[in-house]
Amino acid sequence: MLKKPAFGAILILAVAVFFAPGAQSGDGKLLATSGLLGIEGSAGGGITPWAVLGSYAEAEEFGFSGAFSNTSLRDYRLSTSALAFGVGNRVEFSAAQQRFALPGNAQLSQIVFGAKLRVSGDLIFGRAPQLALTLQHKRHQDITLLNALGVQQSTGTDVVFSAAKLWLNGALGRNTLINLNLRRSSAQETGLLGFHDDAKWLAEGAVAILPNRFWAIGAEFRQKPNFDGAAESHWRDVFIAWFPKKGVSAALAHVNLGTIAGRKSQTGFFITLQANF
Amino acid sequence: MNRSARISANARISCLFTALFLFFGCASKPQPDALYQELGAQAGIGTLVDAMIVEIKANPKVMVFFQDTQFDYFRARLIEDICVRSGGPCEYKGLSMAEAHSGMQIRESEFNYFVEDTQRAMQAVGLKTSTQNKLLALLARERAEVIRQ
Repeated sequence: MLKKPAFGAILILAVAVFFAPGAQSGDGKLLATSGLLGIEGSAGGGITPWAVLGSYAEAEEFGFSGAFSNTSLRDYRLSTSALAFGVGNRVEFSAAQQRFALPGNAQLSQIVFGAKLRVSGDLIFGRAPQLALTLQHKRHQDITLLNALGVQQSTGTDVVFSAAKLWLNGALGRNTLINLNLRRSSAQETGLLGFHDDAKWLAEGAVAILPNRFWAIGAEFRQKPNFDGAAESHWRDVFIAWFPKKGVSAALAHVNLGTIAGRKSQTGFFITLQANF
Repeated sequence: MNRSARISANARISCLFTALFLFFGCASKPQPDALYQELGAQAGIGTLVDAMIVEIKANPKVMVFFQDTQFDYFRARLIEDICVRSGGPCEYKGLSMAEAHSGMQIRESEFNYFVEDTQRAMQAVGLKTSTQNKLLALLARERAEVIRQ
């Protein structure tokens, strides 16, 4: 009920900002403050979105980010291509295509449309954290296999409340970022295995330390739901991200996704390459 | 919960807090002029400001705000400002940050370009990353009085 008006409000705001006088393509944000496009296309880390906005667009600017990522696990493979449009360091629109290869030749395919609004605060400046609201509308493209698996729904919308702060001269004298999320979701394995009729509140967190302004190392945690007594494994990763210049960025992560659909020890590597323009 | 379990829970919590304190470096109190000394006192700050001016002059996006600037005056005031903010024995003789940027309408992006010039200058004079971050944290506090004035 609430989803469509919220999408509409963000869209109207984005259009208003976009057509504001003087809006131009730009890269006025500081290096690395765009985060990276994650597996769902929203900017932040790899397995959790953060309150940061994709692209390097500052106030009165707009910009794009595009990324390809691959996560190879013991029995599965997830590849994503994502595009994000940032407006005025205020709004982010994103679209991601996820291909989830199952054991054997089967593959599930999902599209995620994302909209993120920076509600208040600033990642670096001032005392208040940067707060953002993200909607992720997820939709499977081929529901034949999903139906065969006995899944209740093939579409769902996640709502994510995020807070992020980067402390200059934080831990160990290095700039330090913490992001916390609260997510309302009906997704099973983030929607890759469809959606439940019910929704749950889930917590997510990420911490990153920047050894210098070109590198970030960190870790992420993503709580997973328990629908009908079928507890999913929580997701974890440790990552290293590289921001040689604003135009390009890359990250490598070791992910531990636990048990997925009965198959244990789904660990592996996530790699992403991103361009910003 | 029995007594030994309670003690071990308390020990675990106090251990966690100790670890957090050590992690965030709050365990020892730094000298008030520690950053001033890290920057190399008066001579070091002078070298840094010279490097900043080189970066500013090479950056058209920032230089646009310095068209009417007397760089000797700017250099002296910036040295005083960094000296005072880093705990050094100086007096700032310039305008307030809000006055100095009045009418300029500096955007967030343009403030960031100045931050990037500062980062390049700090790198050029070979400041440690932790020293760079401390100085950036001080400059970041001035942002509200610099942008959109």
